Amino acid sequence: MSAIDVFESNLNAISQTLGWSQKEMARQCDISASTVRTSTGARRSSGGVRMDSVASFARGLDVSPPLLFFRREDLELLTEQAIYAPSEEVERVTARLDLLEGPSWDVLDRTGSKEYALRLLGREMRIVGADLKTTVGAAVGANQGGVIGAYLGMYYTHATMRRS
Amino acid sequence: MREEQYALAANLIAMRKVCGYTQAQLAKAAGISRASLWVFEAAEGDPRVSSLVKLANAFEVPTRDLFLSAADFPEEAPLSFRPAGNALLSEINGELEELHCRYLRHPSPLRDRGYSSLGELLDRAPWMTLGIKASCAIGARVRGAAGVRQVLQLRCPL
Repeated sequence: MSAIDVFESNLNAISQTLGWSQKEMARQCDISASTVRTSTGARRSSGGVRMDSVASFARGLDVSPPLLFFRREDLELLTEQAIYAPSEEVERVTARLDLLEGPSWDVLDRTGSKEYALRLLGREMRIVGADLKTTVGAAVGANQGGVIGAYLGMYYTHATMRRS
Repeated sequence: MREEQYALAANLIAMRKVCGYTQAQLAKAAGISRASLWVFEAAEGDPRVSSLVKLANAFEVPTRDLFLSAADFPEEAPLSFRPAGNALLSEINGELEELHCRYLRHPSPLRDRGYSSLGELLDRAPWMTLGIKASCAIGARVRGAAGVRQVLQLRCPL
């Protein structure tokens, strides 16, 4: 899977988790609808995705640009960085994520219901009132590594947020 | 986008120096024009992600590494740097301290000399891949010797 495929896939996972349409994604990130279509792989463009678009998505989603390129092995590398003491918000989200753990995520993923699983994740995040940044981090992680990835993505995003 | 452009430019320059490439050599290795590389390193233009993927491949690092900035590196010291498992790493650790004091915490051109010294230091560890060296360059750029240690801790089998 190329870096561009990962980027497209993560953006799709984020929009699924947040329940955003492509139009809403464009509005939130202050970019054109055609750029969203190109960046999510819905439309092919000879020019391809530009760095300015990556920066706009990251800014609109309130996350660090590298997060949009995270893949499973990147999350595994971050395990040691991700163990900084979580805040109360992360602890509450973690408690809700426990509900998704176990075989359910793998089954959903294998049976092609990843879209459903991501929506489920989004619902859990909304129940505990997680902020946009934490939710996006969890969505990227879930897309690449299921529930464990969601934990790591969330912790990493939160740790970055606390430092910046 | 200026902040992201500056981070990308600084990362490209630091990686290229540690890996010992000239602009022409890196452009050829990545399969992009030298003019494009010059523009990216000057923090100008709006690079295609596909060009950045080519550059990351030439450095043998994940594309995400090109976007890393200081905010992506923990302020806290690594939980444990474990040099005991590898005598060479232990030696590098000691030399990094001196390198940090002499060059890496100063602005250019002293910092440029720091990157050259870092490159020489990493060359003495033949098991280090181009990717590890390139990541060390980013670590050095954003956090000096402490950043290099963090990269080593995360990427090297100690």
